[in-house]
Amino acid sequence: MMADKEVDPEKELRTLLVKFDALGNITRATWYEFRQAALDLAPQLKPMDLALHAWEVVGHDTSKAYVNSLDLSKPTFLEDIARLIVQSSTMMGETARLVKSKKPNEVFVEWDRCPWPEFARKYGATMEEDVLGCDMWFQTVIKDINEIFGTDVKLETTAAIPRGDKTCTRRLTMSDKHKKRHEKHMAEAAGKKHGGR
Amino acid sequence: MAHKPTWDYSDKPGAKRFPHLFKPVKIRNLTIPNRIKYAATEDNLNDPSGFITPAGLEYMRERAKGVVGGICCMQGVYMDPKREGQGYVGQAAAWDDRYLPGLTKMAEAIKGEGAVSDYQLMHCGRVGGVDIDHCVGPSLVPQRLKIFRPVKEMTREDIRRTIKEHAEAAKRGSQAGFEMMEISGIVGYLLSNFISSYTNRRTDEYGGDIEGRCRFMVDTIENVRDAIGKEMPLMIRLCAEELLDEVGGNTPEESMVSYKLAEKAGIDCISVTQGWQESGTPVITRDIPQGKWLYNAKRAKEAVKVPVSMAYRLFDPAIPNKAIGDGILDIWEMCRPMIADPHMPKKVLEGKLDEIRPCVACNLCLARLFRDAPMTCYVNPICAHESDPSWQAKPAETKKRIIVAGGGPAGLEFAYVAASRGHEVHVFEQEDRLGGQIWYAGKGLYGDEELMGMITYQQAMCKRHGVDFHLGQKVTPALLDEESPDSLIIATGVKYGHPTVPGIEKHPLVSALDVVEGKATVGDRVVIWGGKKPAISAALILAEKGKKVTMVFKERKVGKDVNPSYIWRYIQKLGNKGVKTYKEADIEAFTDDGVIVKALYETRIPVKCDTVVYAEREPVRDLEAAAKEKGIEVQVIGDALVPRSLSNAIHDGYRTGIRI
Repeated sequence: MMADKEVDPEKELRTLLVKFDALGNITRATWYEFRQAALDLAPQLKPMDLALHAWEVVGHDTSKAYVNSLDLSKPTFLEDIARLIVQSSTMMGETARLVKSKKPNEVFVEWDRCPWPEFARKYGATMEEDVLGCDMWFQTVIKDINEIFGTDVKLETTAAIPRGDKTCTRRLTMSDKHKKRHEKHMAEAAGKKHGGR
Repeated sequence: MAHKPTWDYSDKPGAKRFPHLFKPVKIRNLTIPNRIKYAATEDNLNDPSGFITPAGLEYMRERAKGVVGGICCMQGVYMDPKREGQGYVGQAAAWDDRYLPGLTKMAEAIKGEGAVSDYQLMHCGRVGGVDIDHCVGPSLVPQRLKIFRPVKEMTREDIRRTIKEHAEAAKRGSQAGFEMMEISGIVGYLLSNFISSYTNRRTDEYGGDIEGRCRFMVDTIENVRDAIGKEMPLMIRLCAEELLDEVGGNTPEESMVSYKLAEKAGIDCISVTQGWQESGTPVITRDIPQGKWLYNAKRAKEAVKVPVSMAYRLFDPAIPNKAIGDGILDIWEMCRPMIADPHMPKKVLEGKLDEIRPCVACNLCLARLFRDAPMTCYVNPICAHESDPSWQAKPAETKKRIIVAGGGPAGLEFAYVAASRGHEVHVFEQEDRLGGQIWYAGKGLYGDEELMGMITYQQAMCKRHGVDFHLGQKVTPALLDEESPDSLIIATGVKYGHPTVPGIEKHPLVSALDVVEGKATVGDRVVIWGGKKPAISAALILAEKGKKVTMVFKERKVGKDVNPSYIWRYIQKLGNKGVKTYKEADIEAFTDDGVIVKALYETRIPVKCDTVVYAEREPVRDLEAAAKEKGIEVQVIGDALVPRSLSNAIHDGYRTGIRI
């Protein structure tokens, strides 16, 4: 059915953008309001313990989504994990990008905008809770990935906006043995393609 | 006790020009020689325990000098050891005799300058509890502003204790030697919380109708009067108009009932105020015309017989002078104008109007207080540094010949400060007028013309200190060879750049300066490329003309260079005028019918427009390398260093001026 009025692309996109922005803010507000509710109901809980456990729960859920998009036989396995982190972060209203390293088994994710610390401050959570909560999320994801794929991916936080750094930066590494495994996979895949013995 | 001088203003030019300001007024049994009052203003200069500091004393001493015999009120004190009444981290305290020595020094400092020393009791009510986890009020009405603490409802016992604490603190003020006393009941502080139907929902004897809601005030006045005796004049500051209609605040008629009840309870003078901190209606920002609120003073004069005083956008002395002459006001109060220039009324009296450093009603002073920072002033670099010798201009040890390149606010501030120290200062300005970016900023709407007052002041000060002006002359390397200065001050301001993005040739860029000057040809759909002050000015001018305006800028918020206590005014106006904003965005390309905006989350949005106005500034300091090569001492100040605000320009100029 034809629209009665001419579609204004700017208006449509702007409306979506505003809604997306608002939804992100509501998500963050809800997170901290639930946190407050939990602390009110269980005053013996330490906020940091609660936050770390909550992010661990989230991490397990996130890893389930990631594993279906990962393929250990691809040489881009490590990069793909980083790419998924970038995507998740973007969905949450952050601005993140993948930064390739000169080293073959190393890749970085760098965030230059993150609205979470602002919400932490607004709701009286510490900046360290924000950093360590985020770390717990990623570490849980990586732990689950390692368990499923038998890999030894490591994630390390080298800079954090809530600690006053200009960016949040996370370094992802993998050992050579997995690199070799990639190469083997690649060779096998190539052999099959060319009908080798 | 300090000797009280006799004030005779008869031969002073200001007294001839503004006769009503310089005639006596009687409050109870005290005759005050003029109609001027420095109104109590928090400054966060006291120590965290509420003791008066040397910084606070010197701040007040300067203001006491300024009122030339008039009233000078110290900031309101909090009165309870639990600190529920404390609204500011550096607020003075008076809940114990240990505070008496400091309060006595304060009274003496004020009296020592010949002013009438005034002491204020201020329980901050629902805006209190700054250092604890709650504040108190008559009823549990939740806060609308997040910066304030959760409210705890006062019991009858709390109320009686608070009244007693007022009386005890009042007695300490009297013992400290103050000559007048006042109770603050304004802007959302405790007294006003009881009076207002918005925050007082009590059903006991302290609530109910307006008379019941005023009972706390009446009991407080009576107890304070008992504590200070019959002689001392007792003032009160009360809201004439709360401007809280949207939440069911008092009607203006109810407010006048509170005035009458205060008078009946023994108040000798009423300071008329309007608005609450929680009100969405601005009362003291630059966009409010001066004298706007005088109708409330008139209402008060009609309601009560005691003298009536008022602050709130009465910066031009001609306005209160006329109001007093017309019989609608008795005393001219000032907070912000005397933060900007502590000697403002003295200069009025001496006929030096053009030497008054004008407040630009930006409310940076308030922004600092609400962020637990010491007072500072947008236009007065010495404010709150009165006690620090390193902030004062002292005669230069080595006299220098200095060239200032640029006649904007940074260059002019530097020029007169350096000249006052004995340097020979020449200001070169390539235009045939002074003011730099402020000349343009002053063409903005909604009171922005007041910004040029700063340039008028600086020009007058330059003239007083013998600065040489060379208008229409640009400083070049050749001129430096010719003039051979010891020092060069680069205050050359900014230029508006020429960015390169694909397709930019499709729409010639228009400069924001041409827009504010009215020189630019602009279509009906405009994109402003930038989000700081010049962009806001251009956007509002164009929106006011009915153009469809979209702002695209890289920062997270519009007006990143506007202080937090003023930006809400611009945001409200931009919203009201339908200006669309894309924050954290940039123009990625120009198309045949507009631009592509790269917005948040990598979203690309086509925005139709026929004109793009560029409003991003770049510093201009071409001379720096050439001057350094010639061995000339070089300092870069103001926007030439980093494009910022008028305040940064003034502060840069001043600090460089006292050090060179």
